Amino acid sequence: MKTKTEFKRCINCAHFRNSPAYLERVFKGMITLSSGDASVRKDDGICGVHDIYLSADNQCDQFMAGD
Amino acid sequence: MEPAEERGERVQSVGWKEMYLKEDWWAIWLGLGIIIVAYLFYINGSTIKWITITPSRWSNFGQLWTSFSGHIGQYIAQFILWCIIFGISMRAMGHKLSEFFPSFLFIYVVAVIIFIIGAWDKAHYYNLEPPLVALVVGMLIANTTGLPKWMDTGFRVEYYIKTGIVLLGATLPFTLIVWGGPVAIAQAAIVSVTTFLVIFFIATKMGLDKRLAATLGAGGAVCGVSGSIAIAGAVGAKKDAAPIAITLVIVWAIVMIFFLPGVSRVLGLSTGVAGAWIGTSEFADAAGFAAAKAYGNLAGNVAGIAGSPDDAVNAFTLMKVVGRDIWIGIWALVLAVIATTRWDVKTGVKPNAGDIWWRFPKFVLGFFVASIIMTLISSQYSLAEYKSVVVPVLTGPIKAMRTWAFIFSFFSIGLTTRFRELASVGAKPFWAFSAGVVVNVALGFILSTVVFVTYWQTLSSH
Repeated sequence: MKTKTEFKRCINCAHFRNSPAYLERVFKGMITLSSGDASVRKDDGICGVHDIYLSADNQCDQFMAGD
Repeated sequence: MEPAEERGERVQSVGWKEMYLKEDWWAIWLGLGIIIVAYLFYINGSTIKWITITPSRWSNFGQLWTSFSGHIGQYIAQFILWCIIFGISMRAMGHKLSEFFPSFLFIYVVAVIIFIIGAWDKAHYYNLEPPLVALVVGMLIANTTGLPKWMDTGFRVEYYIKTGIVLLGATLPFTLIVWGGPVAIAQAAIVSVTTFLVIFFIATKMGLDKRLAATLGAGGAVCGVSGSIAIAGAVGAKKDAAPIAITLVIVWAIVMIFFLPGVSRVLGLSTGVAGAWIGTSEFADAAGFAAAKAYGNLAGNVAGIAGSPDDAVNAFTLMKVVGRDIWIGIWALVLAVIATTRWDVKTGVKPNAGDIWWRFPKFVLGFFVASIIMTLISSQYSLAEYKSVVVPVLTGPIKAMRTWAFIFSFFSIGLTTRFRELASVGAKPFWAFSAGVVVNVALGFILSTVVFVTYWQTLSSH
């Protein structure tokens, strides 16, 4: 069972976007020599609040439950 | 507005589900699946050769037509086979088959034409190497008439090249990996660390953000676009850092596809030495394989170029895949530790050593397993028996499938290289990255042609 801290990771935040299709759309040229489906990307995604690309394991005080 | 998850913009952690949700694992399943099926046919006295057909050499159109029309059923069967194996995996990864199939049909038809051009007996005279033709034709289409955006679903550069690399493992003896691996790792370590530090130092001296500098450095030093994206995520770079690095890597990778084989040809480098240099100084797997294959094809066709076509590809693979790619997880962890402990931190958690595994390019595991399997099989034969018995019906057809996968990838590079869509980069990132390119190419040349030249020249004897 997830603890409250674990749940507050970016992966569960409404501001976080990390689907392969979304990233391939936003990162122009990504599919030319890489891919949204690659292992090296792990679950990383874009935070709409801080405007940064970061690990899904991160947390911040502006977390907003996304589901 | 509906939640991001319902719009398909956010997905939950995949964890071990990556075994059917990420292309690295699918490349393993497809590559090893083909190898296992080929072996099963082989031990039952048969071969998969029929379906792995490639155009045979021709010198006039009558010969070409006779050869091609007599085998058209085999090409159709092979197309269906590719559709099945790629279709299942693409569906599992969430792509639309209604977009993939027509797009892949286009790729396959053009790939056949490119293969036919490459099989012309005067192709080398006119520099019509299939990898370069695929790239140029793709880029011409992408930057002139263009194609509908939905067709991108079939232009999976990385997926095709990863599948090809796993298949490549079946023709690269594991003993060679053990012998050449440490040299490749040493050479790659020297060049990667130096290139990264040059880009990072110059970028930060120019006033660029450290996270952007690290993202650029990884693109030039480790594994191109994938390296940049992995490091951008690990250090929490600004959203525009990755697209800047993507633009720079693509532009320089395309330049190097032509520059490295071109200079190697002028200097008459042996295929093993040129392959090592390309593996050290090219920025992405797919681009590097295009350069290495194009140069390798010159062996035996252009006077003064020693070695075999395989030497170029094998040396490239040792340098790029074994020497550079597999270390991306460690680069990501080290830089994540530095970012969260030394740099200004907005968000962040303690970096996890488990990320080394999760960011590991898993397709490399398939490459190693394929190599081990075929090395064990071939160890039962003498060299003469291997060449006369195993190559024609087992490793030869696997190699043909690998060549198809590579051509799909090279053509896809061209089709997705749309210069007008790339992010603008600004002068500072350009000069910082370009300084790294100069150091990388020069150092890679010295290490490949002077310091470790004996290893790369004698690659095929091991």
